[in-house]
Amino acid sequence: MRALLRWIRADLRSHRLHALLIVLATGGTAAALLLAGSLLGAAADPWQREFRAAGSPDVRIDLRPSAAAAGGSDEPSAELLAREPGVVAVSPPQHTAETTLVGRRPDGAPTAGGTDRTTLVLRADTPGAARPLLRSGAWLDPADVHGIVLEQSAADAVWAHPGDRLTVLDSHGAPVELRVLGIADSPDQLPSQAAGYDLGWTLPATLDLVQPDPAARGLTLGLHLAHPSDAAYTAQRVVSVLGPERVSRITTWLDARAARQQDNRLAGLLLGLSGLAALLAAALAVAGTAGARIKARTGDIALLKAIGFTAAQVAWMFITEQLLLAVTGVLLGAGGAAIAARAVPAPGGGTDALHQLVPGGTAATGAVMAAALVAIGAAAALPALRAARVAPVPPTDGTRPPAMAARPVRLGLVRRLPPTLVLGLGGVLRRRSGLAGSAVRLTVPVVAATLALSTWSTLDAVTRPDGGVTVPSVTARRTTPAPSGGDAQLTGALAADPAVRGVYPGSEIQALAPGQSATLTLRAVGTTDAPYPFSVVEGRAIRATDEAVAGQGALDLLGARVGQWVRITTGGTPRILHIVGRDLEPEHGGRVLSTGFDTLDRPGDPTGPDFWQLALCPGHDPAEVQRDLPTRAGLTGQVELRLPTGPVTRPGALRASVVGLLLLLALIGLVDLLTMAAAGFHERRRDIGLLRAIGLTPGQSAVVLAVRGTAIALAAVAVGSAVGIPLVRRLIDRQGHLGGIGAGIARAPSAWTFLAMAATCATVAAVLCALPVLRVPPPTRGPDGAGR
Amino acid sequence: MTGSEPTPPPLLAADDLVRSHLSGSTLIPAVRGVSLRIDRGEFVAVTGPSGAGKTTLLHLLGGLLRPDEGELRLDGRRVDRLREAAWARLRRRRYGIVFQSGNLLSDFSVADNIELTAVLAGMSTRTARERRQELLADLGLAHKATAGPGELSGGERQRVALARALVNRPELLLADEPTGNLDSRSTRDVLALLSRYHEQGTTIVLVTHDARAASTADRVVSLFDGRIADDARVEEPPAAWRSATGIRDVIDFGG
Repeated sequence: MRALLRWIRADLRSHRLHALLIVLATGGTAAALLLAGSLLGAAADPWQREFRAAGSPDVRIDLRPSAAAAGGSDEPSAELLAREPGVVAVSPPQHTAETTLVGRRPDGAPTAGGTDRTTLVLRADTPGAARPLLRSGAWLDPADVHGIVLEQSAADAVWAHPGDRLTVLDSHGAPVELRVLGIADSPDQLPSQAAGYDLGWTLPATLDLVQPDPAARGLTLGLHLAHPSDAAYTAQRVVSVLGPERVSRITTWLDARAARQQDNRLAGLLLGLSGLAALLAAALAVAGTAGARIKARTGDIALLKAIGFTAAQVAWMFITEQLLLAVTGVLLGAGGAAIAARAVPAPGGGTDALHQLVPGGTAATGAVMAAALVAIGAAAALPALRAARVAPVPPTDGTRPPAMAARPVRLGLVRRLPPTLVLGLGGVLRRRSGLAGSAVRLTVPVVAATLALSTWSTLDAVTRPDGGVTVPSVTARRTTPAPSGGDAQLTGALAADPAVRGVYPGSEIQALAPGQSATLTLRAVGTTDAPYPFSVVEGRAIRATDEAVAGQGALDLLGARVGQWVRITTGGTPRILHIVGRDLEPEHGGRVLSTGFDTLDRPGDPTGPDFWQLALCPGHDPAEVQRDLPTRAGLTGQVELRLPTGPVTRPGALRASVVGLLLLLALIGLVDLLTMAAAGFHERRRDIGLLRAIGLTPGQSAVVLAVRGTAIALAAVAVGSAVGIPLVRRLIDRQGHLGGIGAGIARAPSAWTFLAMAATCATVAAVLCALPVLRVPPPTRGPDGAGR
Repeated sequence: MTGSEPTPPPLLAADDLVRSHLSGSTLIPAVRGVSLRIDRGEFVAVTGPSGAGKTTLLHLLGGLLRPDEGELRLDGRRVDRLREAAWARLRRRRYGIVFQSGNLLSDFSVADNIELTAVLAGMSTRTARERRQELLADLGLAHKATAGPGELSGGERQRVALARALVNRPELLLADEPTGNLDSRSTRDVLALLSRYHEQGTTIVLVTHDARAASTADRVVSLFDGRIADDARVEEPPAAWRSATGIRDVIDFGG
């Protein structure tokens, strides 16, 4: 053991650079994996913690006003549900009232600030019912009947702060002013954007104020289940027990969680995948360097065995050395990840840093570190076993007889191509198998880099203001009541704007899929004659009424495919739609069915459009249009424009991850290139000496090896990108599928990016391969060990 | 065969050793039935022309190669069937081996090269260091302890190799053409050192094709075509040769 450590110490001393690079590569890989774990953990864990802290129900059921009235009292529904198998408790029913939020006024401001007309559902605070987690301000004051506590995402959407005053319309359309007392987060609640309405908690007395008729109030109930995993099934049972006409909406904890963790999942999955690719690349790099060194030092290994090292000792020596480097690297990486996690704010938002969001992180950290060590150890083991098999007899001459020059080389020389080029490429052709190993090792980081670069370009596409993957658009809404002449004047003014390609009337209503456990949005935009240009990626666009295109989230929710007919219920009215295509739907987790406005012809359907969707001409920035159009069209104060939702809301954190990954992969690539350069130099050292003896200048002999290195690097980049791009496309589309937007968002990096990558790899390879040649002394064959 | 006393058993006894090498698809016999007894304290030179099987025989005696046929006994114990690891342990404690070239670990300093062998045999780090200092001083290389093999001359390298082989005070020193590519002065230095350690009791087997080197030994085994052609004692080494290579001279030259 002591001899083993002694050898390792001396060996590390004589290979400091190699050791440093391996440590850095391992450390970077471990850090990437740990951060990926934290991001994934952060995606789920804080939510879970808060969900428990709030005592949130596993299933929330919103009942229609008519249902509450028909029941006569809250009790029958609650009792009925309490008897359902698996239901542990039913939270006390809370009355709800739907109002329209028409204005917000900051505290003390003299005039009403404009806001969208959005639906604000008031939920009465009932004793025993789960209360949300207060984020700022204070909870309801029993003495203040005009107080409201807003749900966090609703407050974000209308820019409300505690102290602000909100104007809502009561059941008769008269304005009622409410004061925001606090902002609270309800972990079982879908964010308002996904839910389609804003939520606030008020005193029961406030409900009397805005909706005096108890029969017109809705009711909400929460179910606590013995096995939360049964939530989807229970939700189905609830619909059949209460009847679909009574249930306006059901959300389970699964929906709430899914709605809250998409961003982080994408970042975490990207980092995780690339981290795994980096781990593979790092392991291959370790195997490569260990292998190359063992090959170059066969004589030393034979000598070690001759002086009494056993085969097992030789193997352990190499494995232990690599493991020591890996342990150092992994510990450094874990430290680096901990520091990074402290510095990086959690991508889910809030003020918590990433590291605070990972309970039980020690076990996961340990697992990641152990996995990295096992991978590196295994990678080092194979070449180490080869070392163990070296015969104890030192090679007499140290080199094998050189192989014959390949035919193309001879031909090249005959045809008077530059000799350096011919000799360099000849080296590649002559030792194809060994060089294939080098190229494959280099290919893995190239594939991983392709993944990272594709993520970057996809991010670029989906966050580009003029709509990289979807049609650039803005949504216009009236802020004043429609004049008697209808909307023609408004739409005409909007359509006249040069940036606007088309104006399409639209409306959104909530729909329930029978037998399903969640709601989806039915969006009607455009008409059959003038269909809205949905970004259909599968199937076709809408051509007739009752046809619809669906987001991936909606297809998954309905368990339907393009071409099928689906049955949904809107406002108690069943409706059958033919799904003719799939579009890229960034909103509501993709749970949107889009159809023509003329499909909404049933009783209870909206009679006029709630908004107009403005499709913009290519090249126009929606943000600019949003700012300038009202003035330009002379509609100031009459319309408000909204920007569409992008599928990725926080691209910054993702971009930073991508840059970090690219640096790590560059480091691993550098290790591979160094190994390749060293192995090539060792292999052709004698040839180079001979070539210089017959008259090649040091520069020319350097070019011979540089050509070889460049050829390998270029081959690796070519193969890596050829393998990487389709793979990455599938991975990103798969991720898009999970996120609800669906396949079709992946964008490959531009050809220039690949050219730049190839050029960088080739240049670095050429320099690394050429440098040692320039340091070779003139061609005299030195005695053993000299200058090695 | 010499030394036919029944007890004690010879240090090393080879009986009808056969070993062939595969060259391409042809089997080339290198050693074809060599029987040899080497007693404690002997200095045996194995000579012969190129390709006679000298190096293969030495490798067989050191367990670096395994015989195809025949028996090998060390101290009367049969060792030819030992596993590789057992041979490695045996070599650590009882053998010292010097090759023609490639004797030193290329990335290690002189001191590391010598001490690694000592530590491997179980010597404490301190003893190993003391022993290394002692040997290097003895060989006139004390000032080269931190040098790498690349900074040494051929003669110096072979002297360090000798120090490495002797650091564990082996009973048997196997030397394969240790003077093979040395100039005549370095050759004399190395041969004088071998003689000196032989005088101190080390059993030495020296493979050489150089008659002058062989004459340093007190027994010369001539191999030809894989078989022993002659096995004779050298009764009187040339007096002039002996006197010219006293250890003093070596140390003076070596400095």
